[in-house]
Amino acid sequence: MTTEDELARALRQLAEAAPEIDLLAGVRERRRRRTRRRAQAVAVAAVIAVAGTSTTLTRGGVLATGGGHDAAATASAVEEPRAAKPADTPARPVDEVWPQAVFTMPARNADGWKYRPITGISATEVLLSAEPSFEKAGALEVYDTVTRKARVVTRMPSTPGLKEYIHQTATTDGKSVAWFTYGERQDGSMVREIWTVPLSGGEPRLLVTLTGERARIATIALAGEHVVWSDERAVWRLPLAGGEETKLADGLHVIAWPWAGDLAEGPGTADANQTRVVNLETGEIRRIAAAPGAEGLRCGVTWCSGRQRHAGLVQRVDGSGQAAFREAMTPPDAYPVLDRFVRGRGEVYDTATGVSARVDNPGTWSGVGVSAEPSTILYWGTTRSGKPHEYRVLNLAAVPAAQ
Amino acid sequence: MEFEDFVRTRGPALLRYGYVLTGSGHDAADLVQEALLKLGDSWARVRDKDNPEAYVRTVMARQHISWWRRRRREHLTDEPPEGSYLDAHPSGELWKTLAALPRRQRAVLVLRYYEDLSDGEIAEVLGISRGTVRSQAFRALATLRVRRAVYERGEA
Repeated sequence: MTTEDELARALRQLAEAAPEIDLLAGVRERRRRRTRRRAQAVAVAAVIAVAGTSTTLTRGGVLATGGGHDAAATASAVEEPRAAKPADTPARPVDEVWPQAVFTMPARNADGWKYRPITGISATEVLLSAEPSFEKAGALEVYDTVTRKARVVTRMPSTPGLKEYIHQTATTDGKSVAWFTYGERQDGSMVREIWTVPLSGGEPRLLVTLTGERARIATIALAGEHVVWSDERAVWRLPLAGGEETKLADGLHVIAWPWAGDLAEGPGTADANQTRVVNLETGEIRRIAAAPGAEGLRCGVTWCSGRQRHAGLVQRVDGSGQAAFREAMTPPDAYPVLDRFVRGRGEVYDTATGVSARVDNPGTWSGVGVSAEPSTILYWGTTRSGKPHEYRVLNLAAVPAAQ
Repeated sequence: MEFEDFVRTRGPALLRYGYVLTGSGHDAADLVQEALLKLGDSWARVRDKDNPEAYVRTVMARQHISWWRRRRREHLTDEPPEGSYLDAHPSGELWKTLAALPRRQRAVLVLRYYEDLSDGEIAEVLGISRGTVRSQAFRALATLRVRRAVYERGEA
């Protein structure tokens, strides 16, 4: 078949653009880091064994009351002064750094559907998608870490006549949830729908069906009485009550309402630096002063993360507070979470305290939430199994404000 | 052969494979180095009993899917390479579509059309059934064809 031949040829030609790097040096460096990490893990384990009882009590008390006890974070802030260079800060286990933000929950709902966390709604609530099959959402639920129970927000509707129907990205403002779907008509043309439902529950409402050029929606946000989305070219707004969409801004992409940036997701933007952060409500523009040699810079209102000379980088939007990461912390091309936390593989760095927390994951995978705005959720299995019965979850929305 | 020799001679090919799997130079480097770290740990056993290259490629395919399984929104891709077949065809679009495929579907395509593996071999590499390999490949191919046809109509 021509198509298959063409595909094979295209893949071979793509391969020619692969990077050339010194693999041996890279592997050596990784081995050295791993050895050091293991040595640290042993040392930390010894400390926890001594302090074990009080750690457990603290965590239990915090979760039971949902209160703001933040002894760990306060102590960290004292030990690690603000804007300390991350390179000088060995990561400590997340259970120790933010005990009040880590909890265990079931990996499946009452119907046996697999949970996929979306994002934290508050310090004690997490929005979840429950999936009867891979990447097919069947229901939206909210898990409460205080009562340790999940409740169903809604069963996910689907539209007859559309193929390849996928509930794509969801967003929440604490009052409602909105999401968009992917689908195709029988002739193969793209259809995107935007739906909303109150977080308290109810019947989902279809707000708009987008086709043709309008269907190139990339991300979505809730803004008071409106839903907002960006496509490859512009930001659009539509009243939740219904009506026509209006263009809010050209050439911008929503990060987390009301903030937008000038980088689209997609091919060619991975190494590009964002140049400005724009408040879509007030029109305020903040220009980003990129560190020399920075690549892939992604900024919220205050903080940016990116790469510099193949290591990770954090800096403030105004160019201050530049610090290099250990390579293990090289962040993906993602915006800082809550304009504060930077995620690396298996680690989270807190720009407010200069502390890194490490996820000690017994399995081979970990996930991040799939919300439109940078998700506050990281999760992994409680056991080595690829299909664990329970997730261990870090909700960054439950980390106390820095002192 | 020693581990270092293996990395020197096979490294570039592994990077190409990683690049086709991930669509990003950064991720390809990450993926290859992590897999080589694992290979280094069991070098003596793998060298004597198995095929080290097949071992690394299997580790890479599985690792790629598990890393990105739950991260469909963050994974960005590099610019399509210039001066390639893709320029002559409407296929920044093909590159985009490949990037938008679920990881497992993309991995199946790469193993089938880049690595030239049979569906049975792919099933073994990814630890899934042969039926799943076929259905994943079918869906991926359908996606590629449909979108390309639409694009060409738009060009005409």
